[in-house]
Amino acid sequence: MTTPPRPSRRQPLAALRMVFAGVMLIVVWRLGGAGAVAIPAAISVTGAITGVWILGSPRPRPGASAAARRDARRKRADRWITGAFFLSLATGALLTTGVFGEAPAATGAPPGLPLPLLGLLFGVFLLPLVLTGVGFALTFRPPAPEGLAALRRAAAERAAVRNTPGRSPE
Amino acid sequence: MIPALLLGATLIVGLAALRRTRSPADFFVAGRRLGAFRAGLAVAATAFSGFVFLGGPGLTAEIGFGSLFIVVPAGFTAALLCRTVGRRLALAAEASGALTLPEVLAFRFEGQPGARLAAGLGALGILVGSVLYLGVQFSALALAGQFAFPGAPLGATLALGAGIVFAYSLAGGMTASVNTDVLQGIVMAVAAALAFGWALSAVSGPSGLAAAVAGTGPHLLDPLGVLGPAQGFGLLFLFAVGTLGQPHMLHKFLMLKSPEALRYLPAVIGGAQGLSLLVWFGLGAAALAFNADGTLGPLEHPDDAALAVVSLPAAPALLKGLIVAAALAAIMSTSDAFLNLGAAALVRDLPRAFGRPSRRPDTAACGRNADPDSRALRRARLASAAVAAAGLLVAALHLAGGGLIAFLGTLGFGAFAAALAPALLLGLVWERTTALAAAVSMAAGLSTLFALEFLLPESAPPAAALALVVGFAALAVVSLLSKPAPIPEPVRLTLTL
Repeated sequence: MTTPPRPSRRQPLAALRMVFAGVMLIVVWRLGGAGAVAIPAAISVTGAITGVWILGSPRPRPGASAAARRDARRKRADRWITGAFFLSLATGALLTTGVFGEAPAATGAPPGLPLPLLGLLFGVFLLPLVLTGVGFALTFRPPAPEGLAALRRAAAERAAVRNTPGRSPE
Repeated sequence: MIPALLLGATLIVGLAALRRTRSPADFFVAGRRLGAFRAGLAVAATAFSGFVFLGGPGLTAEIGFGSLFIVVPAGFTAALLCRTVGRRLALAAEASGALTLPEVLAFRFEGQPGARLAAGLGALGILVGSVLYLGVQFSALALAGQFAFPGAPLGATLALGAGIVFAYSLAGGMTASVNTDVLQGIVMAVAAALAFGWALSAVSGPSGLAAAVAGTGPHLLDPLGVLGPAQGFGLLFLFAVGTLGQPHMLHKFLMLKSPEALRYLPAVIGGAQGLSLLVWFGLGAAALAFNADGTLGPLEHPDDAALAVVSLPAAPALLKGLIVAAALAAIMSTSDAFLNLGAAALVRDLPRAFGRPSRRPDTAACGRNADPDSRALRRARLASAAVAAAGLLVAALHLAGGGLIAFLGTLGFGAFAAALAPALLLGLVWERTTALAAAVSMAAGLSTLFALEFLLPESAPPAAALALVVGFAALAVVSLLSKPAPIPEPVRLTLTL
């Protein structure tokens, strides 16, 4: 009932990202305002990598089935939306740090809220809210019915073994 | 009038769930009947407490728009939740019949050394955090109740608010909680949108706000004006990644009727949260402007800013009633979730982790609504009563000490984030994660948080953000150093489907 451990397809990238973000925080902490660009820059680098990833997104092969074409379209849309999300986040973070000036006056816009605040509100909050909400609904891939059936079957078999006196599921 | 109507409607909706609460699955996961709309509104309403309606505008009045770093991650956390842990939690519930998050941890690490310890530590963290969070919510309920019923003593408003939450939570469990969350979420969104519209017109728009604070503190409009970059981006990081460890939000994913319901969840959660956050920006902006021009007198406590703004003669009476009702709704929706989570930890998870192993047949083999005995329900209700009593004690101490809601809210959020986010996120996406690593990361995250709060109270990056990083690092290192554990087929499918 168990499969031998195999090389994970999911590397601990999430942990590495968190540690990387922590290092960035410490850099900013030690360098003060001058180091503030480090975090948006890190987000921008991630965005650029995402851009390369988008360009390499799969295209359906000629003669592929309708399901394969649909899946390829979904994957491409997912990458484009993810790329737009990172672009928005990077721009918003850069604006927030004030690297493009402190106030709309610096860009010739009428007086009002300062650019860093607008960057935070629009780049980090509003645009990502729309992109991720709509994007997730458009590109969501539900678990296949046969996959769900296999999951329920495997769980029931394991529970049956566990509840049999003298037997271990291992 | 409006707050009284809300309290009455909440009580009716909540008590009506009594008929549909016949099994532990009804009590703890609302019978797993939630679609995207109900689940989304429930997540949004539960996530936003009195912290958003009272603490947020108060914090903005004090430190300016740097406070927004706490809430702007809501722009993407809903999708992040659904894409990472949400999908796998829904599948784990499908496979194991888990009713609680520690049960998901036990399922994930089944058969590994340290599995019961990981589930037990998770349950302990949830129980302690729930009692503390509940205490803060109850004290906020008492303070907001005084605005709803002027002249009423603090003790009476505390008893009234806590009594209503307790009555419907005890009767209908999570079914009542979710049904009332839907009502409360709608009230919160409508009130916040109206408050935003009124506040912006009252300060004559963005340029009026800029002009009002120009003389006293233009830096208050700059997000990094008062907070340093490390503090601002540290809060952004904490509230973005830390959301993945908030049990009151994650628990809702165990209640979905099908993984297909995930499709529209980010849109519903994000939409409801986006509307509710308008109160933070709107009333915060008004508080800043009215502070600057002297319209708003000195406040006894920063948390009073939101209610002080809507109590100004220029504010419509209807708006004041709505905001007080929305604050009550926000507080109640969070309180009932923690009451249920604490009860589940007390009556299900801790005995299983640290007591004798259960000899009863496994629920996964028997279907979703297995174990529908009335004794289990009675135990769950007794546990709810015990958690409520502990929460009331914390509230009484909190009110006597005059603590700041925003501070305690951030600390509670940080504790859950540091303890649970690494174990749940990496545990559910990375096959190599071991039970021992999960247990170590919980202990490391929590102890780092409290050590930093004690040793470096003035640290620029929030202590909880650093504790979160330590938790992730500990989990990754211990997992890589441990011998890979075999992955049972149901767990492998849960992680990869």
